[in-house]
Amino acid sequence: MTAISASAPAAAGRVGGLDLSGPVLAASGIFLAGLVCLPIGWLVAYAFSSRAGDPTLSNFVALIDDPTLFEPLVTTFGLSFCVAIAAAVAAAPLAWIVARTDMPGRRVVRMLMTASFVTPPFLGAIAWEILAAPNSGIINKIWRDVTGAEDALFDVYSFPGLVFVISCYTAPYVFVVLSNALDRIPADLEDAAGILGAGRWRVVVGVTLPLALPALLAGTLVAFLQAMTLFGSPAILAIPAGFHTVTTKIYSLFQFPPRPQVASAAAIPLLTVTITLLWLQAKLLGRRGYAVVGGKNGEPRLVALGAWRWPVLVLALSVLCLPLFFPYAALLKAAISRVPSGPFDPANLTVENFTFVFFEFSQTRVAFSNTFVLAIATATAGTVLALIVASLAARRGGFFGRALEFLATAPIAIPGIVLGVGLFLAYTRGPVVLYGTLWILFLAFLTIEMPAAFQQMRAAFRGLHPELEEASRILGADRLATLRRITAPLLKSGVIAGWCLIFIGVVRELSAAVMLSSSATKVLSVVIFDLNESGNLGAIAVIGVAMLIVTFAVVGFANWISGVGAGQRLRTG
Amino acid sequence: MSHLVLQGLTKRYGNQTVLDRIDLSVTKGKLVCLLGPSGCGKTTTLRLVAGFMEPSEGSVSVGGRILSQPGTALPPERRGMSMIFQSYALWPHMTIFDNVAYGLTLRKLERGETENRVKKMLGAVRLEQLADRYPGELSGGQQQRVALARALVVEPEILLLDEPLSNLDAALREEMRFEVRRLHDEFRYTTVYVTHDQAEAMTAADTIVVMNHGRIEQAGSPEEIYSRPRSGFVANFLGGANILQGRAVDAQRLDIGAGIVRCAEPAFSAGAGGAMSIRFHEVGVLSRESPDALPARVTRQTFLGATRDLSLALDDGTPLRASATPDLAIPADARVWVVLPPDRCRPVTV
Amino acid sequence: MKARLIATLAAGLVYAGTAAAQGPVYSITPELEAAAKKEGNVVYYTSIDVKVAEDLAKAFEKRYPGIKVHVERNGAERQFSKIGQEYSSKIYNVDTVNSSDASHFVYWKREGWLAAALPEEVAKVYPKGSYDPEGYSAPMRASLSVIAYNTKLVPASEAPKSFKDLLDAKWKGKIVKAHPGYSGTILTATFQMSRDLGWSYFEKLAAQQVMQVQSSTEPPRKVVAGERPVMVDGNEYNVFLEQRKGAPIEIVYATEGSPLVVGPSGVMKFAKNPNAARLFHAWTFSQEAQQIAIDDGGLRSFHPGAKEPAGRKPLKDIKLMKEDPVSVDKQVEELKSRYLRYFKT
Repeated sequence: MTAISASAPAAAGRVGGLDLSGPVLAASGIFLAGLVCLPIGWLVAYAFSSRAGDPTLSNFVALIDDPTLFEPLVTTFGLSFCVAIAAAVAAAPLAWIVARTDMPGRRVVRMLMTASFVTPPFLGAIAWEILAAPNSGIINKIWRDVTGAEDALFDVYSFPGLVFVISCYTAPYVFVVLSNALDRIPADLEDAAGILGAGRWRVVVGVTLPLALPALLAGTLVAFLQAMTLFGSPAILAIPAGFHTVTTKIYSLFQFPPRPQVASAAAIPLLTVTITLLWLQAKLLGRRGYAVVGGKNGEPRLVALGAWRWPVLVLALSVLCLPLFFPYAALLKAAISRVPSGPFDPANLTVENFTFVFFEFSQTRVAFSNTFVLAIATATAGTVLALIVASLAARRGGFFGRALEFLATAPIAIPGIVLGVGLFLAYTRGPVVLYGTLWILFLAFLTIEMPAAFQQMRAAFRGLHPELEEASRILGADRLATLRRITAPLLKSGVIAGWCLIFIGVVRELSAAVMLSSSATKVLSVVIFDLNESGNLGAIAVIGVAMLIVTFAVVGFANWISGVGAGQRLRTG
Repeated sequence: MSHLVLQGLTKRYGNQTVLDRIDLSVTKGKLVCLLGPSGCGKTTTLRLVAGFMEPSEGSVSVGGRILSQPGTALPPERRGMSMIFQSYALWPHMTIFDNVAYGLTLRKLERGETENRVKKMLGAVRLEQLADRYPGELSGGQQQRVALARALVVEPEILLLDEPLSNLDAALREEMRFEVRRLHDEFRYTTVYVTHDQAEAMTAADTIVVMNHGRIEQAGSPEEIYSRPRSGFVANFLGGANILQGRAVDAQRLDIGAGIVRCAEPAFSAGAGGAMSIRFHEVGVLSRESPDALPARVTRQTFLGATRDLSLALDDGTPLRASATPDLAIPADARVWVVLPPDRCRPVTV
Repeated sequence: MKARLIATLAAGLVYAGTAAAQGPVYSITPELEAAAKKEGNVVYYTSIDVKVAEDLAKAFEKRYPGIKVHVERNGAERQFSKIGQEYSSKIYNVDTVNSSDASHFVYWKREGWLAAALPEEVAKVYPKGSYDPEGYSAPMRASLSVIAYNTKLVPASEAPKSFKDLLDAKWKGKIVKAHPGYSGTILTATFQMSRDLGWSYFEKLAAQQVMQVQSSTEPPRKVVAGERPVMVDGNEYNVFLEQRKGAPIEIVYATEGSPLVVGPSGVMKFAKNPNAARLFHAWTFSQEAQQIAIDDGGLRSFHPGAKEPAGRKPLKDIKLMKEDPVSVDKQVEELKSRYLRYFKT
């Protein structure tokens, strides 16, 4: 007996070997800090510098004095506000319908709505050009043919047009956040109101909606921030409409003669507003609501729609037309047409766009490979980093943990174009020159996608009992071995969801990429943007559709992997 | 021979002290129960021993080697200990076999050796036929036994149990109490067992350590603790007791207001305040007057089957509980006389 | 006839004086070819239509197997920013460049970013004065910025004849134009139009609710699609390309004159593939390449041996505005800011 006991510590000592977790944690902390602080540091430094490099406030004075700089600011905030409202108004009923009613096909509707998240907003904007350009747009042509009207039904090259198109691709954020929250509102809270005599609709309005309000606000805020920081859609639609947003203005400030100082200063309001809003959100929603929504008591009860089931389905499907069915139909048509918005007639059919993209256009292959290499690399590295940081934040706490948590969340406050500017400033000079390599894109994407991945991981970690990890530690596994053998497998579905999130995010990223990619490091989003500049809609359609097919294939594959062995987890409940 | 030694172990969070100078030594092969209400610091003590946290002061040593002291704590994985958790913490993505084999695979044992030891251990907890199942498919009691097997199979130097039975229903809990003791008798690991359930402690422990407010109230064998509680808290927490306070007449006698009570053990100093405890079933209840008996009134009586629970009030209003034989049927409000036998009256601190 | 064409072109040109000494002149020698093959790659930044650029690259790769041409097509102004960013950061990605904004070469030459490399064929057969005798740039192509209209939407009788015609109220909301902030062609054209017609012309044009696109390649596409029936500026060569596809679009050479836009090429000083760059550069001036540019690309050429296809109005019959890259280089900031004032983007 004694002999056995005596052997145990020795054995345990061997098992752990050198505990690398400390250094790994420190390294990830330093890496994250550099990732976030370096570009932002340069950005702030530039914003307060003159062209000669002396400290000055003149850039901010110019921002207010020069109407060509000030108007985009006003436009941007107006735009974001309209988009947030529109996205919430469109997404909220749909989220409630799929989460809390017995509408037929609600799973499919939900899946499709989530799928529209995969669509890069700039591709959606281009598709809507084909659909709703005032004269050549398919919808407007049909409208004129049918009604004989002179004017267009809808002009996509306008402020409302831009609001509409951006809303189409931000509404899914509101939808996902809200429908998930509605899923988790336990039925007993609603039942309680029901017992007290509230009617079915009174329950919805009086209980369900207030409980879902924090989620609705959070989703709307995301929509606001998205609209504020989006670059592609305004670049595509606002310039023909004759106005600038802050992002397109920042971009144009980098054109010859470049004014990086003013561009940096113009980025500061975006940064400030984002940070303020996120802070407000944390303040307002921190205490209320989440605990209740997190409850697990009872399945949500579905509202029976009765005779309304089919009309509601039609309504849901018609909402889906806007971000999904119409744009994709337009893209598919453009891919096989000589004139993208031309008539449906055999004379207009062609395979030209395919031959051009796949056999003539030399950037196709390099952009495809760059994009997916970057997406896979970023998703993998980002997942690992998010996992480490989330595990620390969840299990260690303390100042160090909170600091890491902050660093991993902070990039959410940095609009892509701003980060692009910062990274450009940071890595086009010594000591590390990364501009012109894939690394700078990798860093940019990693920074941009980190918050989403981190939040995903943190949520997964919170659902994981700490004792599961402690049990592994006490049996002789060090922190890293525990992460690898226990934590990671248990978090698998969360991890894969996080991976897919980053992957999709990278594929659809344009604003930082457009600042940072060069000819050898082109990515698909930038190629599409370039092609749009010269109006090659057919080629864009082909590339866009191919890009989405590959994306769906990868995401499907990742989910299939996570599905392998899901049987076990189902049984373990 | 003291094996596990805690010396002046203290844990503070900010200026809140959750554990206050704990001294404890555990002899090799013994099972020590840390018993106390929630928040008494028993789980903190266990986690300090396991190395999940670092002490603010004091030390944890095993076999003379210091494992934890302020500033340095050997990580849990290097302590050669095992632990059983309140939630069992079985890994849902592994089979029962893999769960139990986990610690052995970390020790790089040969496959055959691992398999043998896991099989043997599953046999010992009577689960050999469930090796290929997943934890989610097992009942609570079976999961508990897997947790035991997983902790024991690595032959830990010290075994730690954190409220291991609190998630089980009453019948199963009783069965598992004996199971824990049986396995301890079989393997004889030095064990620290944390619980708030006195029955569990009585069944399983060689030594019971009663804790309250981050301090040790009393440590001793179950019998010792039960029959000679040193404080009112211990007496009350373990088995329940009447605590009577008063002023000492001499070393043995206490004036409790309604009368004079005598303790067999001399512990008081004349003129000072003092307290004594007496268990409910040790209070004698008579229907007629008798010398040394104090008059009382029945305020409530409850028939419990095996016993009859009486709530009494002494003449000055001091409440007293007694557990009498069921056939003693006294109507409420009746006048009775209570006998407090000196050898059952134990001086305690309050 | 050919002589007259060249004379016409030369009229719009800037490089006075005689060819310098033989210093920068080089020819395609077997040694150059071998060295270029060893490098195996050439990075070609160009603002030419992407399809034409790819056609040229294909033809070159066929002619010189083993050398891969990496085409990086951007609008001239974006390309200019990009090269500026890259060279300021000491990133020498580009080997040889072609821009539709000749003023860029004025700037790059001044910055010392160009190599002196004058293909022998240019020195021998291109009109004197069309190229930089020091060898820093030579006119790889030329095109016009033209008015064009959709023949299905506008009857020929109602088509505009001049820039002034487009200020008529009937064209309100019907005009598309490209942007000098993105397109070198349009920057050059804006300069020439503002010089010859006055800025007041743009001020009035802006009041016509003009649809603004980026590249000069795009207005013809918008006209063909029917998004706007008429374009005020845009590439002549894209109109040719659309016409060849049978699209309903017709060119109008404005009575005030059409802006002539020369697209020079040059070799970068710090090219990573200097030999391949020189080989490709020289080849693009060959009759073979120039004919591709004319036939496939709808471009105008300075090569005396290149043949204009039937059906295109010869340049000699078109009234042209005068090119002046040196002035464009000087006025670029003012051009852009005045434009911004009128058109808001």
